[in-house]
Amino acid sequence: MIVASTPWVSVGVCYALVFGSVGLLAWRSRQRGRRLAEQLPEDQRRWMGTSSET
Amino acid sequence: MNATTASKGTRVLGALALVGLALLLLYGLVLSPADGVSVAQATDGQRVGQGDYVRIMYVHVPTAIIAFLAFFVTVAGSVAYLVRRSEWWDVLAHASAELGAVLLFATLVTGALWGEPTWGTYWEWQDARLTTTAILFFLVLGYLAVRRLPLERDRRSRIAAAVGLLLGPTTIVCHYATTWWRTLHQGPTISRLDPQIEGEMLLALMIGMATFLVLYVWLTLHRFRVLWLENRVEDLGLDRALAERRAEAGGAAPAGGATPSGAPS
Repeated sequence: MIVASTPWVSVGVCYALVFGSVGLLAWRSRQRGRRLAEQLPEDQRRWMGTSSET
Repeated sequence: MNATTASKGTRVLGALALVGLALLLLYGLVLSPADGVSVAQATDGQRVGQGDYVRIMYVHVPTAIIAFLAFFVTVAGSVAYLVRRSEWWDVLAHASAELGAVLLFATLVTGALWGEPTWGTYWEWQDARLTTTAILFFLVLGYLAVRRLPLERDRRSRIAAAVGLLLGPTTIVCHYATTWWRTLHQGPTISRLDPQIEGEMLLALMIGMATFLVLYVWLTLHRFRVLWLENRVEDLGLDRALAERRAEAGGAAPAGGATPSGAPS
C-alpha cells in the first residue's frame, strides 16, 4: 500500500490531492469563464474584467 | 479581448489564498512538530502518537469544516430561491455546492489515507461519521446531477432547491455523529472552548482553516460568475433560436399568408 512505507508518502499524497483538486477547479473555472465570455456580447459580460484592468 | 471571471476583489482573495497556502505548507509540513512517533516506527522509550501522520489533520479538518459551511450556504441559497425565486440565490446555492463537493471529496480521501495508519483501515461502514459523510457526498453529487437535468431552468432550479434543503439535516447529523454515537472517528478537536491541541499544531490548524475559508470565498465567486454566464449564454441561445424560427416562419410564408405545413402556428 502506498501509505505503508513512510508517513511522508501519505502526507504528500494528501496535500497534493487537496491542493491539486482545488487548483484543477480554479483552472477549469478560468477556462470555462473565458469560453463563455467569448459567446456573449460585451454588454452582457456583467462579471467580466479585461486584461487592460490589471 | 482577454475576458476572465476575475475582478480586483477576486485577485486580492487569490493573492491571500496563495499566502495562506504558503503558510500552511510551512507550518503544516515544517514548523509544527510530529505527534510523537507512529506505532510502526516506535522504539523503546519513545512516546507513541500519530507521528508525522498528524500533518494530514491540517488539510483534512479544514476541508471538512469548510465543506459543511458550503452546504449551509447552499441550504440558505435554496431557501431564499424558493421564497424569492431569485436567480442570484439559485446560482449561489449551485456554486457553493460545487465547492462543497470538491472539499468533501478531499476530506474523504485524506481521511481514508489518515485512517489506514492510525486505525488500521481505510474505511469502516460501521462508523457513523464515515458513513454519514459518504451519504452527504452522494447527496451533493445527486444535487449537482439535478442541476444538469435537461429541464426548463425554473423547474430545474426548484427541484435542485428541494434537494439542496436535504443537505442541511444531513450535514448536522454528520457533524454530530461523533457526539451522538460511539465511533472510530475521534470527537471534536477544536469545536470547544478548550481545544484538544495547542502550540504550533493549533496554529497550523488555524492557518489551514483561514486558508480554506479564503479559498472557498475566492472560488465560489469565480464559480458564481461562470454559472451566471452559463445562464446568459443559455438565454442568448434561446433568443437566437426564437429569432431564427420567427425569421424562417416569416420567410417561408406564402404571399397569401397561409401557414406552411409543419411550421409553428
